[in-house]
Amino acid sequence: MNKIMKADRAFFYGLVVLALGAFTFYISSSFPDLPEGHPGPGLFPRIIGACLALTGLGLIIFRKKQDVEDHSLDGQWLLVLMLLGIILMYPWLHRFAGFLVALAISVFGVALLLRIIWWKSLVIAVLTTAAIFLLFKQLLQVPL
Amino acid sequence: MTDLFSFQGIMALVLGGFYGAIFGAIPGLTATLAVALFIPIAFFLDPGVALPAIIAISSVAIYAGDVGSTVARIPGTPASAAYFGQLFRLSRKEGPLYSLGISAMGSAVGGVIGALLLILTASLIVMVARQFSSFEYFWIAVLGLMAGVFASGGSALKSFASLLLGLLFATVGVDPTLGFPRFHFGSPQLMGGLNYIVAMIGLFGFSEVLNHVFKPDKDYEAELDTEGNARSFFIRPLLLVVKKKWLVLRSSLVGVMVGFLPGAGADIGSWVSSSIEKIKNKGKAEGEDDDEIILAGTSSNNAAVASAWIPALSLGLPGDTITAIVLGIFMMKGISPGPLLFDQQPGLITSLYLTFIISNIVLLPVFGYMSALMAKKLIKTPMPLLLSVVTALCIVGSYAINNDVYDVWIMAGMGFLAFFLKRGGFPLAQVVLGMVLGPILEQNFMVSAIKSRWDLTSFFDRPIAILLMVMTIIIIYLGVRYSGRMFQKTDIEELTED
Amino acid sequence: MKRTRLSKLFLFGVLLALVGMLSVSCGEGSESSDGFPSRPVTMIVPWAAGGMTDLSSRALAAVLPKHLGVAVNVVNRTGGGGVIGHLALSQARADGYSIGAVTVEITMMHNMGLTDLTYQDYTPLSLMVDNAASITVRADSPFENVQDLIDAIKTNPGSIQASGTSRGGIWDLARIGFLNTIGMQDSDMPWVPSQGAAPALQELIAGGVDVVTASLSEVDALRQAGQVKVLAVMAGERLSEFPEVPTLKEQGIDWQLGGWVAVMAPLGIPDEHKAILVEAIGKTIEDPEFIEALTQAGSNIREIQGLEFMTFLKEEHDKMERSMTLAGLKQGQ
Repeated sequence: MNKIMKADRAFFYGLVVLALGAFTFYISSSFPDLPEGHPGPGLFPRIIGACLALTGLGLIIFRKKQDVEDHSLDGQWLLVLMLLGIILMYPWLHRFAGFLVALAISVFGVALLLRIIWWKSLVIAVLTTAAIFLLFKQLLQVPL
Repeated sequence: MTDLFSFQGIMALVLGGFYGAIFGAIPGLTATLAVALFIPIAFFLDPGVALPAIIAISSVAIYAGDVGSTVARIPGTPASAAYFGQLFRLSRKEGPLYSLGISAMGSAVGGVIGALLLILTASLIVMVARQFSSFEYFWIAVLGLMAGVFASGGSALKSFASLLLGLLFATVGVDPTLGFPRFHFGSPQLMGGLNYIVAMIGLFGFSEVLNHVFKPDKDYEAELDTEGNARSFFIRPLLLVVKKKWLVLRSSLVGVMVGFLPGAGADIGSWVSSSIEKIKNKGKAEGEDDDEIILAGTSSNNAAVASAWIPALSLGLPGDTITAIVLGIFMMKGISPGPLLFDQQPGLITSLYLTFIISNIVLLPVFGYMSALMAKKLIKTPMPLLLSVVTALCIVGSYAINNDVYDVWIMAGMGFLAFFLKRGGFPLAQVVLGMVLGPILEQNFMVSAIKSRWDLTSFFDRPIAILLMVMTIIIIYLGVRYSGRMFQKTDIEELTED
Repeated sequence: MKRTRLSKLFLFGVLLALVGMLSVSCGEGSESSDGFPSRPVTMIVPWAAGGMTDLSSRALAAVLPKHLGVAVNVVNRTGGGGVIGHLALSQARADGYSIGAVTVEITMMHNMGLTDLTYQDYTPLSLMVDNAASITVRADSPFENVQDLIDAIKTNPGSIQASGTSRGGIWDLARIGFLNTIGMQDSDMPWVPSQGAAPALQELIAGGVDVVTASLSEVDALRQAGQVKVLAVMAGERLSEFPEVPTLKEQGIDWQLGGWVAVMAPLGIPDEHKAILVEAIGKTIEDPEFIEALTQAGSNIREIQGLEFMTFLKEEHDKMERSMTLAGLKQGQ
C-alpha cells in the first residue's frame, strides 16, 4: 500500500505537468496569427505547451520506484494554508490600514505560525516593522 | 556613480560581507536568498554601491556555508553540501579553525582565479558579442537553455520541466514584440507580466518559511567549541594550498567552467570538483583525503561565483540565480548589460572587478575568521525568529520593486509552487533561468524570422550562429551521455534539497 | 499544546478585526479642502525608470515644488505596455494629491483590447512633451528625400523594411499613418518589431532594415555622428532644436505623429485644486531649469492646456482609431 502511494506521487507530478501543458496549448491555440499565415504570438506558448505535455508523459513513464520511506508530503497543511491566508490578506490590509500596520500584523501572524510565543511574536513584529520602516522609508526613500 | 573607495563603497563591502557571513552560516538560508532579500535595498542604492555589495555578499556567503557543516554537520548552503561530511570529520580531528581555514583559503584562491578569468574573458567575449545580431542572440539563448537542462545535476527531465515552467511564466503578459496580451485571464496585473525578481523572492525566500511552518527542522545542536588559534586558521591551510596548488587550480578551473554555464552556478561547481577528487582518491582510506576534497569543493564553488558574472556582464545572460538578480537591477537602473555596458560604464566594470579581488583577498579571510569564531553563536540563532524577519523582507521586497501590493500575491504563489517543486525533486534555479531566457529567446526568434521574411534557413547563415548551434549540439550530446553517470553516485538530488 | 496555538490564532484574529474596524472608521474624512496643497503630491509614471517618460516626469517633479510649494514624489508603475501605470492613476484618489504622466499610448491601448481606459478617464492638466516621429535612413542610403523613398516603395512594394519599436507601438503607427497618407498598404513597407529605438537603429546601421521611424530626439545622436540621415520629421512645423530637418508636410504629405507625455489627474478632482495644479505645472514647463533638463534628456517641450488640450486629445484619439483600424490592429468589432 505504502509503495503504491509513493509511486503515485511521481505519477501525480507527471500528470500535473501534462495537464498544464495541454491547458497551455489549448489556450494559446486561440491566439491570432500574423498576416499571411505566419505564426504569431501563439507560436512559443504552443511549443512550450507541447513540450510540457511531453515532459509530463516522460515523468510518468520513467518514474522511479522509491524504496526509501517518503514523508515529504506529511506535515502541517493547515498552518501552511493559514500562512498563505495571511499573505493573501496583505494587499487588502495594506490598502485599508497602511503599510506599517499591515506589515506588523502580517509578521505577527507569521511569527505565531512559526510557533513563537505570542508576546515574543509581538515584539518581533514591532521591531521588524520599525527597522524596515527606518531602513527603507527614511534612509533609502523607498515609497512604501 | 559612487566610487568604490568612498565611505559608502567601503561600508557596502563590509556590511555585505557581514550579512553574507550570517546568511551563509545558517542552514536553509542560501547565498541566493541573501541576495534576493537584499534586492529592495539594492534597487534604491547607486549601482556603484549595490553591485559591489552583492559580490561581497555572495562570495562570503558561499564560504560561510561551510561553517554550518563544521559546527552542526548541516551544510549552510547547497554549494557546501558536496563535501560537508569530510569537513565535519576533519573539524573533529584537527579542530574547526583548521578545517574552516582550509575552506576559507581555498575559497579565496578559487575566487581570485575565477575573478581573474572573469576579467580576462569578459572583455574577449564582449569583442565577439559586438558582432551579434538577433540571430546570434537567439542561438545564445538556446545554448543557455540546453546547458540549463543538464547543469542541474539531477534528473534532466525534471530540470527540463522546471525550465519549461519558467518559459511559460515568461510568456504571461503583453507580448513585447507583437503587442498581444497572453495568459492574463482578464487581470491587468497579470497583463504586466510576472517579474522574475518577485518570483525569485517567492521561490527562494518565502518557500523556506512555508517549509518551516509545514515541518519544522529538528533543532540542531552545536557540538563543538571553536578552539584553535589564528595560526591554524591562516598559516597551515595556506601551506596546504601551496602544496596542493595543482589541485586548487584544477578545481578552480572546473568551477569557472561550470559557473559559466547558465543555471549551474556554485552548487554544481563544488559537486563536480569534489566528485573528481573522490573518484581519483578511490584507493585511499576513509578520512585520509578529507582536506583535498574540501579544498577542491571550496575553491571550485567560489570560482563559480565569479565566473557566473562572465555571461551576465558580456552578454546579458545570467550564469546563476545571483547574476539573474544582478541583471534585474541593471534593467531597473536603465543600464543594459552586454557589449554596450563596457563602453558606457567602464568605471562600473572596473569597480566590479576590483570588488571581486578585494572580496576574496580581504573580506573572505577576515569574515571567515570572524565567523569561525562566532560560528557557535551564529548557528544558534533561532530559525523561527529569522524566518519572521525573512517574511517581512519578502513582502516589502516584492512590493517595492513595482509599488504594487498584488505582487505580494505573485511572490506567495511562487513560494507555494517552490514548496511543491522541491518535494518533487524539481530544481528551482531552472525556473528562474527560463523566466530570464524566455523573452530573449522569443523576441530574437520573432525579430529574426520577420526580418528574414520567415526564411528559416537564415538562422544557419552566419558563422557565429553556426558555431553556437554546434556548441548547443555538443552540450546536448555531452549532457545526455554524462549527466546520469556523473551524479548517480553522489545522489545529488537528495542532498541539494535542503 | 494544540489549545495554546488555537488561542494564539484567536488573539490574532481579534487583533485583525480591531484594526479592520479602526481603519474603516478613520479611513475617509478628515481632509480639509482649503490650503491645497498641504502635503506631498505623488506622481505616477507608467514607464520604467531611465526612459524618456520617466526622465521628463522626474524633471517636472524636480522643478514643480518651486511653484506648487510641496514636494512631488515620482512612483514608477510599470508593465503591461503601460496599462498598469495608467490604470493606477485613473484609480488613484481624486483629491489632487495624485497626478501622473499619461502618454500617447492612452490613445492606442484600448484599440488593442488591452484596457477600456481612454483619455476621458482622466482630468487633463497639461501637455508637456511631444517628440515627433522621424523618417530616418542610413547615411549611405540612396534616398535623399521622402519622395525618393515613396518612389521606391511604389515601384517595389514590400522590399523596404522599417523598424523602431514593437508591433503596434507608436513608431509602427507613425509608419502606418505615413503609408496610409501616401495611399499605400501596411504590407508595402513591412514592420520588423524591435525592443525599442536603440536596437532598431543598430539594425538600421547593420543593414537589417532600411528605415527607422523613431523620434527625432532618439535618432539625433547617430545623426550627429553622421551614421544616419533624417529625411523628414512628422511634425506640424520644423522643430526649434532641429531647424534643418524638413517636415513631412513641407514635402507634400499631411501626416503628423509624436510620442507625447501629458500630466493628468484622476477624473473628478475639485476644480480649485485643478486650477492650482494647472497653473503650477504651466509655470514649471516654462521654467528655464525644466527646459534645460528636458533639452539634455533630448525631449521636445510642447505646452498645451485647457480647451485646446481637450481638442488635441480628441484629435489624437480619433487619428489613432483610424490608423489602427486600417492596420488591422484594432481588436474586436
